Order: sequence, then structure tokens, then C-alpha cells
Amino acid sequence: MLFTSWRFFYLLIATFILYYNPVLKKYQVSVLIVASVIFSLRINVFLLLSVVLVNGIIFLFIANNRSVLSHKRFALLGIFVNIVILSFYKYKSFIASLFISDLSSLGSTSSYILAIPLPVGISFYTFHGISLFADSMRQGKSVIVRDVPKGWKHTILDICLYMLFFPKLISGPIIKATDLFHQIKEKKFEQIDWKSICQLLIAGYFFKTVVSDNLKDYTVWMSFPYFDTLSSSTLIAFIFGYSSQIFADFCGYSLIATGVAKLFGYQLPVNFNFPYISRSFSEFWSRWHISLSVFLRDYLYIPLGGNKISRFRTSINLMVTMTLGGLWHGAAWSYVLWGGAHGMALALERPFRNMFATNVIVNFFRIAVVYLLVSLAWLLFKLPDISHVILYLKAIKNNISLPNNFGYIIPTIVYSVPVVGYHVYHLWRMKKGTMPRLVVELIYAGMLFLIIFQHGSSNSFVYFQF
Amino acid sequence: MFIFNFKKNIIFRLFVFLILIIVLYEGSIVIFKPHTPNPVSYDQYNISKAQQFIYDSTRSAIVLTGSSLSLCFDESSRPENISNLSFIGLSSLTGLELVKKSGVTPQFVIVEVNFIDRPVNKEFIDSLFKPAWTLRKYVHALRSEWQPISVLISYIEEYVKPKSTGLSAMDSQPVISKELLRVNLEAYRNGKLDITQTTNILRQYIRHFEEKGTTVVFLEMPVHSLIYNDDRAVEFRSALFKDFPASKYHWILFGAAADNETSDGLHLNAAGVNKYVPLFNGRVRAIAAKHASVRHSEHALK
Repeated sequence: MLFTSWRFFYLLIATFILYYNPVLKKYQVSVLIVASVIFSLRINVFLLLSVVLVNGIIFLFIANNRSVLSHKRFALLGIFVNIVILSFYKYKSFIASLFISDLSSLGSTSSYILAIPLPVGISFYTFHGISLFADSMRQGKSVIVRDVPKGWKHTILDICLYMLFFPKLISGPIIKATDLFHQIKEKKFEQIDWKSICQLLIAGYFFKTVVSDNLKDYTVWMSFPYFDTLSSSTLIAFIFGYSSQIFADFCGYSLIATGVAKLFGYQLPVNFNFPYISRSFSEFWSRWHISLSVFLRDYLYIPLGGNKISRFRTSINLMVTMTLGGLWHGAAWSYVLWGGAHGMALALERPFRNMFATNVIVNFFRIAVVYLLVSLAWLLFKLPDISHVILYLKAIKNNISLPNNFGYIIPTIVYSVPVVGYHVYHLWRMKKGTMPRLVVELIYAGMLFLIIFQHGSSNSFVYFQF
Repeated sequence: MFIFNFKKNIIFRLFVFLILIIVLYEGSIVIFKPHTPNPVSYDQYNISKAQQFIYDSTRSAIVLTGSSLSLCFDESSRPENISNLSFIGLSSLTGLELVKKSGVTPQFVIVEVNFIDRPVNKEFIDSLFKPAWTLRKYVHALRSEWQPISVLISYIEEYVKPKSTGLSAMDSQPVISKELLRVNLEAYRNGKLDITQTTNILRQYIRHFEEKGTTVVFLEMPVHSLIYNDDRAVEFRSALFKDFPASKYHWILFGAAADNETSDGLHLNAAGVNKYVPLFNGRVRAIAAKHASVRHSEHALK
């Protein structure tokens, strides 16, 4: 169910009415769970519920076990089970292709297994499962198990809510178990922060339906072999256009998810913090898909040793973390390369991080370089076949004499302006403070106007494929 | 009441500002009457063309339905009485469904047969006729051609490149892309064409229009010889001729396009347009004239 569909809107209204109904106030968690199941009816709900059930059962063993050693064993088992589920559904073909050159030569049973499609959202809800056990292992089960009579029933409900909560189910933000569990309590209608929710939803839908859904009509021509006939200027415009599109799509989704969660009294973590004004790659990863960065940092990078050991080991840890982070995005070598490239950039820039002066010109140059390299790296997302990426770059070099495709260049630039403006506004706000309330509200009204009158054709969110 | 408290209720304030912006925008369209901007995306092109047909009271006597292959009749001079309902990514069937649903009875309907196996896009048709959206007839801002950012883009394009329609990127390429030809040939061969089902569906539409007195004309757009002579194309062409013979129906046929007349094997490039559009115009005029003289004779006899 897309956030931009009428079905979602009807579900949201119905859930909201039931959730804040005084008669049902004891069942708020259950209402959200039912709504989440309805939300996920078309995305392999049986697998999803099975994963939740398995996680819940393993966690019950932890909750009912006094031995610290058993607790750790069950927690490791829980983490292992989630990794196996994710690996099977997401990486089976990739792993098979490492050992078998011709997958079409396999028997019917193997072919059938390899043809099982990737369930939407699996990368996110298995990560939530991992967080559940990792947090219980590191901080103790008490942060998750509620200390109430008949606690285990509430624990099961809380785990179901944590894993199924529909605003974040399919594309995050990834919220750590401890961060959500402590928020689970009765929510009151009077506590709703309408202003913040309006701003989040308007900004989210604007980025998604106006910016991303319109940009996709142009960046579609980046695909092979269409880019072969386009001018160099067009191809360069598309690189930055796609960079804007992927930001608008993902940031838009996260803003909508955060706004919807807030409607029910839950705070999801901020997932994007103006990433394209980053002056370094380490800053970029503190601003882009923050919930994933935090997850990888806390559950992979730090356990590997982080930056507490030698410089060489730190670089290795960065490469491993980012490469696996790339692989999380997709089961293809292009994503491995993308992650590895970011890991290498992080490792290489590390010794020079504090060497630069912080004046306007140097900062501008650094922002431009990071933005350019990040945008080029997105080509690996748009063109998962690495040979097509090479051909694309060659086409930029070879197609200089072709006539410019203004019909593509101008719309790409115009639809990218809101993304640029969003980042420039943040820089301006850091220096000059917030704008007058009237101006801010007129801007939001303008965005709402464009959502109604300028929405592109509906498309699933880019990050659904991960 | 808090709900209508402008100072305290942000949602109410946003709503008021939104209404203000809508009124200002609609007012500027109605008062200043700017020229209709060119569509800037394929989706907008399809939707605005369909909306113009539905809401435009001066509809043409001749309606052309087809796919993006027939778009070229938009970009050059065409006979004045033709409404071109060729939709990018769709087929004649969608155009025929649109004409049928709008209740219009043209004198002639020209049916492009090249991609007629693409089924009717029901979502596209339904979105045009949703009850709530009849407002579009009276509120121009709701129509696809007046999407605010698209208007801005269109005017910028005119300033930068006066003759650009924003959609002729393919046509601006002088040389056929071998890779595109290969991809299009492969896609054509892999298409799920059920000849019997397609001709049955087409027959229903033809019957509907003939019962209303419309003359049906079939058009086969010229495509690269590799696609034109493909077994699938030959088989389909034979089935169409059998069901809709030339003895009973008008056919506008051009044969295969030469190597240098399409940009990707399917769409005519500038050279192709210069050659085939005048031929098409001539054929349409001849068919219309023939029918006009037949009617005149019948009228005289009465």
C-alpha cells in the first residue's frame, strides 16, 4: 500500500478514529497492529507475520530465562535467524551466481526457489529483528520487557508493534528497539502536535509527489540504451537530477513516515539532515539515511573495533561496514562497489578531516566535491549493470557534439530546484535564523498547492526495491 | 471556535492560504489568457491531449487514434479537421475508448494498427472521467496543461529554444541508434500478442462507430523493415486484412520505412516526417473528399 494511495488515506483515517476513541484507549497498541497487518496485506503478509512470530517466540525464551548465558545464546540465535531469512530472500541468486555460472541450467526445484521474489520491506523488518536481540543483549531484556503483571502478553504485543508498525515497515526509518519500546504507553488526542505533523506531511508529500514523481519521467532516459542518443549536457543534468530524485523520494518517504507515526504519538528518528551540504563523506553519512548509519555503526562498526584500534584496522572496519551497507541495498556487484567506494572515501579522508580551514570558499569547494562524487556514485543505483555505468560515462565524453535535449534538461533542472533550495535554506537559516512565520506558512501552502496541482504519476518509492 | 480561529489554528491558516493561491492562479489564467503551454512530460502530454478533447467544444470531424508512432502528425502541419488522440505508451484502443466514452461521433476515425495489441488503459480513462473532476471543465488550473511548474518550464523552454515542444528528443537524432533498434525489435518480438482477441476487441469498437455513422480508416505507420517484415507483424497484418478487408475499409499503408527514416526503428525522424506526413495528409483529404461527394450525390438523388 503506497503512502500516496487513497487506500492508505482511508486506512489512516479509520485507524486514527479508532485509536483515539476513549472506549478503545486500552487497545491502542492492538489497533496499530491490526492497521499494520491491513497495510501489509499485499506485501507477503504471511512471511512478515512468520518473521514476527519467530522473533517473538525466541524473545519469550529470553524473557523467561534467568541465565545470562542462555539470554546471550538466544539473542545470538535471534540475530542469526533474521540474517538467514534476509540472506535467503535477498541474496540467494547472488550467492548462487558466485558458484554456478549458468543459473538456467539448474533443475526445476532450484529454479523455482531462485525465482521467489524479494518481499517488500524485508531489509527493514529483519533489521528491526536484529536490533531487538542486539539491544536486549547489550542493555538487558528489562529495557524491552515491561514490568507489569501478565508482562509477557504485553511484551508480545510490543514486539508485534515494533516490527509491524506501518509507517516505518517498508522503508524505515530503522528505529532501534530501545528507542521505540520506551515510547509504548497510552497516547492522548490532546498531545498531538498538529503543526509539526502538518509540516512533515506537506514536506514529505511535496518531495515525493511533486519532485521525485516528476523527475522520474526524465531520469527514466538514463537507462540503457536510451542514454546513448542523448547529449553530454543532458546526461550530466540527469546525474544531478537523479541525485535530487533519490533524495526527494527517500527523504519524502521518511518525512511522511515520521509525520504519520507522530499522529499516533510515536517519534521516529530523523533520517535525513540536509545531506547534500556535507563537507566530507563522514559528515554525509551523519546526514544521509541516518538510521541505517547508526545501525551499521552500533551493530557492526563498533563491534568490529570501530576506530579504537590502529589506523589500518579502522580503515578496514570502515570498508567492511560500508561494503556490507552497500550490499544491504541490493544483491548485485554494483551495490558492493557503491558501498566499497564510500568506504574507501571514508578511509582516505580520515587523516585529513581536521586539516581544512573553515571559511566560506573552502566549505563551498568541499561541499561541491562531496556532492559531485556522491551524485556520480548514484549511477551505480540507477544502472545496476556496471558495464552500463561505464558506457554512460563514455557517452558523456562522446556525445558532446549531439544537440542539447532542452526538453529534458530544463525540466530536470527546474524539478531539482526544491532540493537545492531546501539545502540552501538550511545554510541560510544557520546564519540568519528562522524566517517570519507568515513566510514559512505561505511556503507550506504553496507546497500543498503544488501537491494538488503538480503531482507526477504515481510510482512506488525508490527504496521499496531494497 | 478553535477550528476557524485564524490566529491559533495552523491547519485553518494553511487552508485559507491554499484557497488564496488557487484563486490567484485560476484568476491569472482566466484574466490574462496566456497561450496554452506545451506539455513537458509524456504523462502530461497524454492527459492534456485527452482533456482538451473532452472539454473542447469544437471537436474535429476526423479523429486519429494511435500510439506514439502517430505523434508526428502533431509536430508538422496536418489537415485542419484532425484531432490527434495518439497517446505515448498506449494504443488506438485507448483512444477509441476515450472517443466512445466522451459520446463524440466523429465523421471519420483513423485507427493506427501498429501497437493495437496494447490493451485499453482503464486507469488512464477512468482518471479522466472521475465524477469529482468535472470541475476541470470550469476550473482551468485543474487541467493538466495548466500545471504550474509545467507552465513555467514551457515558457523557459520557449525562451531558450523557441521551436522546442519538449518531446522531440528522439526526432532530433539524425542517425538511427542500432542499439535502440535492437531493443525495440526484441521488445516487439517478445510482446504478448493474441491476434484473435485483439481483432475481436477491435471489431467491437469498429461496430460501435459504424452504427453511429462514422467511417473507419485504418492506418499502418511505417516502421523499420526488420520490424515490418518480422513474422509476428506479417501474421498480424494478414489477420487484420482478413477481418477488415480493403474492399470494405479504407487503409492508409506506407510499407516499411527506409533505414534513415526512423530514429529507433519505430518513430519517424525528421526525414521520415518530411516524407510521410504530406502523403498521409493527401490520403486523408482524398478519403474525406470521396465521402463528401458520395453524400452530395445521395443528397442530390433524394
